[in-house]
Parts: sequence; structure tokens; C-alpha cells
Amino acid sequence: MGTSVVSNILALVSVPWLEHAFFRKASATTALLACLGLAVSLLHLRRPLRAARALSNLASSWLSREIFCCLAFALCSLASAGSWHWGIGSNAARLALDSLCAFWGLSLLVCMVWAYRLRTVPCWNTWRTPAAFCLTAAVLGSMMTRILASLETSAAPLWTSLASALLVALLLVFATALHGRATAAWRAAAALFTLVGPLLPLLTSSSSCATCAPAFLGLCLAAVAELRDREKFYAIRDENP
Amino acid sequence: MMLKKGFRFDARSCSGCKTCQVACKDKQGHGMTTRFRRVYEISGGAWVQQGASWHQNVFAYHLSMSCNHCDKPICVEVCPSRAMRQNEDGIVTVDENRCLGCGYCAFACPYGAPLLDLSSGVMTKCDLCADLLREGKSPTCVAACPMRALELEDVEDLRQTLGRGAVFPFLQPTLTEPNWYVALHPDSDRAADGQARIANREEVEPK
Repeated sequence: MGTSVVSNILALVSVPWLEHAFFRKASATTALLACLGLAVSLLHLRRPLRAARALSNLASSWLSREIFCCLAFALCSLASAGSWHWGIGSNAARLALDSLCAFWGLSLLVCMVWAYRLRTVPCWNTWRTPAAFCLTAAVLGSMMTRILASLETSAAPLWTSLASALLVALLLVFATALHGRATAAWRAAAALFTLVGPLLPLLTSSSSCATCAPAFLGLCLAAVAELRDREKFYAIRDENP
Repeated sequence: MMLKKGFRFDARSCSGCKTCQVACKDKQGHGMTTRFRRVYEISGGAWVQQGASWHQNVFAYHLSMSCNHCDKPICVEVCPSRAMRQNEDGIVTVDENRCLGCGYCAFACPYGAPLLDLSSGVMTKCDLCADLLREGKSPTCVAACPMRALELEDVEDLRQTLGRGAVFPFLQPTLTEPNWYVALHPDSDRAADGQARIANREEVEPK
């Protein structure tokens, strides 16, 4: 979801080094992650065969709306991945489809936030919930986008990678301030690896793998930090009556 | 769709014997962990020094809690499959043929009323002993209370004499408007000041 939104923001500001190959990879990654997310969400249902009924209460249930947006996002991302892979339609049409995908991704994020901001759960019904969810999408999305872009380094100027890594580092500092010290070490390591990646071509011969591998390690570390934050998020509710 | 009758709970009379809890389990045939009704033990206080002497200011009281068939039931509002519904008589029930077993209603309910039935994989909850009500009898928990601390009375009468249960450890009743009207224990003010805790947390936590 984050990858889709961030890569489409880059596309909308017409960053010149973004190429066909980047969008093909970004849309395929988004489609894979969206379908994976949808499949995992089915697993926590005790009656997964009744999953279609989850769309029955769009009028008042944010969970129903979240599932609707998730389905729309997954379908759009699959259509987008297919159109980039098989070269269907013009570039403008494909970017329009990507933008629609990003719209559903943002809608999904909003519904997800409101599904947790229950008025009867005071510890979740605060500004921290939207902040945490938006930061998660922004951090993981921009890291994944940078990895995908770094595979095309021949076209990407170094400053864009550095700017991307600095943005990730900035977001990680905000997230650490939000969640406390519990995951600070993971986040610091993730930011370090994200920053090291773009610097490597300065020290060695320029290679996409040299920037991609540390950034991927950074993404994994950031994902671990996010998982630990999520565990803390649920624990807060259990600690309160 | 307002409930015509609501629970009247007298925290001053409840001795914490848990007969209501056991009677409910007996009627429903529940096993070790499932409890539609739970009795909370609230306690606080400690030894305090006053001049050269020490004295204690401990206190304790009990609260009997189940589904309160709220006037604004959040379980009905959030259920994605419309399995949770408020009937014409105001009783909140779960349609087991529609339930997905996502557990979101249990997340949202401030009283821990919806519980997951592990054998059927769907949510289950108190239906106010609708079968007994049809026969003109009281719900099992009410009938069993030896202290007459728990009664089912006309909501109109209750509103004139008591307020909805605004007592630690539960949230403000304005959020869901529960039909649980409480005669407060004298020490509930001290609990509101943050001096109390749930003494039997492991027992009352919804499973």
C-alpha cells in the first residue's frame, strides 16, 4: 500500500529517472503484497468461507469499509501489474490506473485507522493511532520504493537516493519518538543501513546491487521494528480494562 | 428499539458470592472458561500512618456484569457481517449463521460481552434468557441472586431512581448507553480517584 502511494507520488511529480522497468517492478510488488495481505486477513477468521458477508455493513462498520477498500486495492493493483507487464494501453492510461490504485491504498489506510479508533477503546482513540499507521505506510513504502528504484541506478542520480534515505531516516526518528525506546535500536539500525546503501557507489564501483542489499536489510529491520510496535499496540489494550 | 427492562444492580448489597455467574454457566452449559456473567472484585486502600499510629483504609466491593443490551450497542454498529442485531424488544443477539468469527465485536464491547465459542467458531453472548422471559420468568442470574442485588426492572422506573452504571473500571455509559442501572457502593468514589484495582483480573478477563 505504502509502495503504491509513494511510487505514484513520485510519478505524479514526474521524476525523470523513473522508467518503465521501475513501474513494472513497483506494480508487481504492490499486487503481490496486496494479495498476500488479503489472504492473511482471511486466516484470522474462524469461518473464512463466510468472508464475503464482511461487506454487509458498509453503512456503519469501518471494518466492512476497510475490507471493501482492500478488495478494490488488490484488484486495481493486479490490473496495474498486468498492464505494465504485458504493455497494455498507453503510459498515461497505466499511470491513471496506478493513481486509482494509490487512491484505494489511501482509502484503505483511512478505513484501517478508523477501524481501530473505536470510541470504546480510549487507549486507541487518540492521535497516536493515525500517526502510527501513516508512519508505518510511509516508512515501509518509501524504503520499498527506494529499493525498487535503486535497481535502476543507471538512470537515477545519486542525490535522489540520498534524499530518499534521509526521508526514511527522518520518518524513523519520528516513529521512535512516537513509540518510545522499545524499538529504537531496530529503527536506528534500519536508518543506518538505508543511509549506507546510497553511499556505497561513492566508495566502490557503481552497482545497483551495492545500494540495494543494505537498503533491503534496512527494510527488514524496519519491518521487525514495526512488528514489535504492533505487538505493543495490542498489549496496551489488553492492559486496560 | 429500546429495552423495556434493564438490570438494577445494588453494589451495596452484593456480597460477591458469584451465584449469578454460576447459575448462568449452569443454564448455558458452559465449560471452564466461558462466562456470560462475571463478578468483578474491586479493592483498594493500604496501611497509612497518622501521627505515631498506623491504621488501614482498605475497601472492596463487587460488580456483577454481563451484556447490558445497550441502547446504542457498539457490537451491532461495528459487526461487518450484520450478525449482531438488536431485536424489536431491544435484546441484542448474534445470528450464528451469519457470524464470521472475526472477534471485532469483542474488541469493541466495553463490557466484554461477546465471546468466541471455540467449538462452533462463531461469537456467542447473553440473550437475557429470552426463553425464560417468554414464559414470564426472570433471567437465571436474577432469579439466583440470594442478596437480591440483581433485578430486572422496568427501564422507566429505573431511570427515575438510578443512573446508568458509571463506575470503575467501566467506561462512561454515554458511549453505549447500557441498560445497567447501579446503586453505587459508598467507596466507588475512592475507586474513581484511582485508588482501586480489579483484584480478580485473570478470572474476569474475557476468554
